[in-house]
Amino acid sequence: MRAGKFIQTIFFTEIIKGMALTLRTLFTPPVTRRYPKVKRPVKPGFRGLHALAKNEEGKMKCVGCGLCGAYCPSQCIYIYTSEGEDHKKIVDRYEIEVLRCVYCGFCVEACPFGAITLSEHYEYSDYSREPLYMTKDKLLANWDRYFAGEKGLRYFRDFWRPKAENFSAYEGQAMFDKVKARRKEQK
Amino acid sequence: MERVLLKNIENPESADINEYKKAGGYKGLPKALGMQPREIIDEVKKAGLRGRGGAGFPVAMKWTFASADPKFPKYLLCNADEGEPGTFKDRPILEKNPHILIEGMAISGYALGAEYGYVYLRGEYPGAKDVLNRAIAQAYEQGFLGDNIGGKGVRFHLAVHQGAGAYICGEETALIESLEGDKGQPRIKPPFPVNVGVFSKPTVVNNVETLSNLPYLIEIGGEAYSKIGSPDCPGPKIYCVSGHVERPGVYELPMGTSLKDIIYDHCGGMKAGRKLKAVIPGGISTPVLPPDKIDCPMDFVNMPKHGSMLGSGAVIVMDESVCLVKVCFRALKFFEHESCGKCTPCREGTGWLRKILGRIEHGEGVDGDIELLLSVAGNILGKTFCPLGDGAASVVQNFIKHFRPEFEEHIRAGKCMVNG
Amino acid sequence: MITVTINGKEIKLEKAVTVLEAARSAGIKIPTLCWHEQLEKYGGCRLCLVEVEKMPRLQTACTLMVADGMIIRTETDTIAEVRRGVLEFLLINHPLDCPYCDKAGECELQDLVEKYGLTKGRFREQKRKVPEALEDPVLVRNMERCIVCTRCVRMCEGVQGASAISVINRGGHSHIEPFSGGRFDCEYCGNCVSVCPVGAIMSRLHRHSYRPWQLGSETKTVCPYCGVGCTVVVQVRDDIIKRVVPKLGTVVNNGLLCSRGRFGYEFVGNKERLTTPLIRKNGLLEPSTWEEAIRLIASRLSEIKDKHGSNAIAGIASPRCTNEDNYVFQKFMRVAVGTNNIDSTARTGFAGAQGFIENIFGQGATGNIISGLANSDAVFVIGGDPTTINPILGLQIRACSRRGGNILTVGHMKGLRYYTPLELRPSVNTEIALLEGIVSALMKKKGPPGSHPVLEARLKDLNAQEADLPRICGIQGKDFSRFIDTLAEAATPSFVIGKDMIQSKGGSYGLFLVSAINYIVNGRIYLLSERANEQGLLDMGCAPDLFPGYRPITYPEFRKRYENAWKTGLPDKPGLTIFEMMEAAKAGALKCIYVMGENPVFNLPHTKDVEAGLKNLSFLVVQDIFLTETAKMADVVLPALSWAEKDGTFTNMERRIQLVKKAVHREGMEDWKILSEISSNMGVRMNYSDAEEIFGEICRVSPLHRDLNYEEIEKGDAIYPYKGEPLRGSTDEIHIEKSAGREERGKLYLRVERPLFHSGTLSRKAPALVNICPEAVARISPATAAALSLKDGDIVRASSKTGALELPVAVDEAIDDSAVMLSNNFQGKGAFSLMEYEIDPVTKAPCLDSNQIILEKVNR
Repeated sequence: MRAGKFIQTIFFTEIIKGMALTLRTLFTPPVTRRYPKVKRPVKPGFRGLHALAKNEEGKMKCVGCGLCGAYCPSQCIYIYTSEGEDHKKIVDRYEIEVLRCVYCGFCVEACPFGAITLSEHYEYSDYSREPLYMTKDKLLANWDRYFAGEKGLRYFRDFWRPKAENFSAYEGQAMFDKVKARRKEQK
Repeated sequence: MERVLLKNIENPESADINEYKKAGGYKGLPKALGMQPREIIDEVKKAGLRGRGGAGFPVAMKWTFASADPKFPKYLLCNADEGEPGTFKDRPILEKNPHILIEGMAISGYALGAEYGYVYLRGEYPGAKDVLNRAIAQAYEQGFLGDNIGGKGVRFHLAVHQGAGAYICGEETALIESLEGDKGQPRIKPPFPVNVGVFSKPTVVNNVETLSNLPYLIEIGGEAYSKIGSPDCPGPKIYCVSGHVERPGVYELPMGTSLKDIIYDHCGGMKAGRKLKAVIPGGISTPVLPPDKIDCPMDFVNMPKHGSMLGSGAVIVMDESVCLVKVCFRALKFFEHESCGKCTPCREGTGWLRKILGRIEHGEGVDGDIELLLSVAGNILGKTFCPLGDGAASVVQNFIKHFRPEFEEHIRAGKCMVNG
Repeated sequence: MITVTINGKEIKLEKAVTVLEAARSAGIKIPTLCWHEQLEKYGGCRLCLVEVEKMPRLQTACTLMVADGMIIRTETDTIAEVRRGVLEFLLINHPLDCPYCDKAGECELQDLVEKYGLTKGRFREQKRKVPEALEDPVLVRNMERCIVCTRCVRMCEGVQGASAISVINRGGHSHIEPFSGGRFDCEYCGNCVSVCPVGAIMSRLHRHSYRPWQLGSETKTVCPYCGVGCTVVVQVRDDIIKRVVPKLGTVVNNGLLCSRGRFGYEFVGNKERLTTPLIRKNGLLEPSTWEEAIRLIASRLSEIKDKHGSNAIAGIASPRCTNEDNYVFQKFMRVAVGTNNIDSTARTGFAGAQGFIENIFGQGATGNIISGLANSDAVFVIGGDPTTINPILGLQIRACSRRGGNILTVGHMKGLRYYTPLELRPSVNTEIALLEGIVSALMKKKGPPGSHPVLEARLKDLNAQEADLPRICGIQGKDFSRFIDTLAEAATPSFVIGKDMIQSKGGSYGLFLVSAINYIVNGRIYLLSERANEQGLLDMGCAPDLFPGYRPITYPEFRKRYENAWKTGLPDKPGLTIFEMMEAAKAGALKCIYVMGENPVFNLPHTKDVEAGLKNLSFLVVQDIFLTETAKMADVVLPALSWAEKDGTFTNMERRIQLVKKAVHREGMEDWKILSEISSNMGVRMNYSDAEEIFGEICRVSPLHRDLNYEEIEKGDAIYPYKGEPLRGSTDEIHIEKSAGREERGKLYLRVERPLFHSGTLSRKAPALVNICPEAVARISPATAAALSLKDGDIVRASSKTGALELPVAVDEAIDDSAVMLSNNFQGKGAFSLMEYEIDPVTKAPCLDSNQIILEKVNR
């Protein structure tokens, strides 16, 4: 035992082992990503920057019922409505103080019309508070930017649809029980 | 049996007071005026007279409550709002023999201590209104109404009030509301009309037929009267038969005549020998009976034992050419139209039932509609303000109970199995 | 004692109540929709069905009376099933538009469905579709949402007494509609809105601009309009008043409001509100700073005071301002300026009448509890329609009638016409003769009570002959004797006196006669009050002859007391009344008037005269919330805070002191604050930190308010004299001036109409009220219309000695043949501009009833 240790000490075998690992690693691809050059794709259902959904006609879906604001745990949604010329309710202002949002997604769940959504976009740091105070126009623009085309449809179908009708989740959505089930299969 | 209520109606002048007197009328009233009011009520009690409006409430009991109330004046209302589909039993009395009603009301008014009476006449009987008004005028002339009836200082005044054609006004409190000039909607009970009725005074509401029984009852005495017909609810009864029988019409028979006898004996059997399919024995809101259950005495006591009710005694006979889903649908259409709108289950439920039945009838029914019908009917039954909603719900329940296959066939095939 | 068991809980009850009330008393909740505590029971919604042992059917808890030994279950599976069924029925035709519906969040149906209802509907057919009824400017009906609980109808008929709406059609087609069709023709009390459990009848004010849970603050305060002082809850979102609602269980109005209280709040946020001080420079009012304005006022006042003496300055206080404002105002005038020239528009009737009646019966004679009216067995009304002047008081009179009381009116009261009034309608200007007749007849019938020798001595020489009445007043003898009989038999009669009585010629004599009638039948007197704090203003000493707490200034010992309290000498001569001020201004004796929250040009009769007087002043300061007619003439205009923006107290006509609380925030200063700033600039320091501190001082100096504080007031029963004592006893002397002159028949006389929807300056800045009642009209009787061949809507030129107006006419059967009714609520079209007046020497109130008017049709 002592002799083995002695030999190890003399011939720096541990160092050689270590160097070998270093050498080997040198030729394997890196595990970290070179953000922001390389971006990690987000999973469906990711809760990022807010957007106000538009319907098929391109009009805002929100009717200003205020349930999102009522639910919001950080109280960061402000809605101001008024009576329009045709005596219907119109949404004058819909504002989210993004810096206070905790991305719990309760607003999405509360919405009876699937009007407020959380996009996959998460890169929106800025130098002042003002750009992060989302107004109605900005939120609607977010829909066009992040949910244009198929993506919006899919999100609406799978996540932002009023849950009262169907509680089943999107097939590919990351869920603990599904993960568990898959692991079981692998074993 | 000798006819009592419809005596003399073949005579074209039967509505005239002199003809009525000639046929033995206005004999009960003088006799009654010779008695104490209390004695008249006792006599009615002895006779076991029950209200002919549909519920069969003992008349003497109602009168006792009203006459015990010290408030004054008291009112006597005659319910001539004969709105139940299939019912036309009061109409011959009102149009052909009005004096028997007037005499009955005068007796009743005297017995109750009521000095004012109203006949609440169905809006759809304009002819009866003229006849009644003429008869009342004649009765005033001859001193059977007025301030000094029969020279005995008894006061009784009578007037006709015509309704505006609402079925609900056949319900006594709704009738009172309507008579007072309000919208015909039932009132909260208690207090009952015998204590707080029209103009907040004690009021007795009796059916035309009930009141018309009185002259004869007084004339022959309660004891003798109680021997007619069923022992539990004696007296003559008018049955009005409509539908697929050889001789539909109005029949005055002793109470308790068997339904089978009425159809096959008095009415001459089924029309053109077709097969009997269903009978509604007492107006549309009473439970329908299938052919194997029609051997039952038609009175207030025995009909419930056979799964139905006497109601107004309006027998509707249907043969095999009839689609019962359609009948049920039409009945609900009636109830929806006549619901007064006061209470939720009836206002909303009758319309819903009608819509489902309409769907089934028009071949658009879906699986589960029968269960839905039963569930909705169950939600109405027993929860409504007045019996109108109960009637509507029980129609649906009983039609499904006895004729479920027909409903199922409608839904399955999307069309009627009777009429294609 | 009745014992019932509800859900296993034994409940003992004193008297038979409904099962629902019994359950509520034990804290057991039974869901209801058609039931409402203010309304008659109905039993229609079927939600309160409960199981009662030994009863075959389920019973409605709201209609079933408890009986001894009853065993009731309210929460069983069967019942939950039934409630679910009933709610399902309600929902089949109820649109699920909760996200759009303004009621969501406080909707009773929504709450019940959330608790009992199904989550999924089984109704597959088309729901009922009814378009929203938007014809009305103030109320919107959405009959899709209606659940036909008829609460609104029962409220309208049974409580408000307007009977304007009803259930139309029957069965599933039932819906609520005003008899007048789309637009309501009603009193616009809005109480139907309060009781509607769903969003079927709603207010259009601030519609769709808030959800109930977004109303950040709720402030319980007092209505700013009339002297009844209803408790209101002001609901605010982001410093905008969204709603004013009543509260159930409050002492004065118990969940009821009138049109002004409910819909008249929008003046607070009106864009025309003054924002900065204005100073007249080169003849024009120009915006300026507070410092400049206050310095200018202080220096000008000091200058005038030095040059012409203190009495060249006068102040007009405001019955719209709080007690605190008025207290500081009179203190400012007395201490900083040094004059007793303080008065207010209360002088136009209320002040004098109250003084006169208190002189006879002692202090507090006019301060009776309003709800007591409903318990009277007879109510005698004279001099104005209480249902329009003080609507909530009017409701108590209607309630009295409903409970079997007799309403006796002298003159025609339109708002009471369906309440079987025994009405005596004397021909024009013969009320005095009629009252004399009533006094004589009652004396004959009941004899003198003997407790007030002074008054009885006055009555001795009165001997009107009943037989003359038909000739003089045009009254039927049998009506008169029925009137007298009813009045004489009444055990607890009440007397309601309106301003028209006081403002008529010989008003003090008329008041004396009404007082005499009251004395003979032993009744209670209610003096109608048009302004929120008319009573409080007088309590605070805003009168030329009284210190706070009604202490006469002429008594040296009282003056001493106040000199000690305020640490200064005080003038000992009574000052000028508001009418004397105008005279003095015209004559040039008065140099300056300081007006706080009042609009004399508009609210005093004979506009031209007032204008001339004010023009003649060398300095006029107006402190107000709007640029009123008076403010336009001012040298300095100061913007004040309105009722909703400050704390303080109002004293209502029953002398209940109630807290007014700040509901919305606005930049600016309270009236008292402005005054104390000016005072400090004049060298008299007033350091009050808030209204409560001022009230503390009031309670120290006024014997009527002794030991009172805001916490005590909050409890709700602060009716003064709180712990103090009344000061004025009945006196040995009653001054009367008889001057009821006969008027010429066949001439038209101008009368002031006091409409339900307006109250002068504030209401015309409230868009809702303007929409309900948009313009001034001259109301004439059909006979007058026929004689002048006028019809509804014709434009007439109404001219009197003092001016002329052009305005449309309305033919109204309720108007007397010799009267033209014109309200004083519309800019440039006020009745007061056509009126001259004489001052009643006793009450010091103006007599306005002898203004002849000529109507001519204007052809356009």
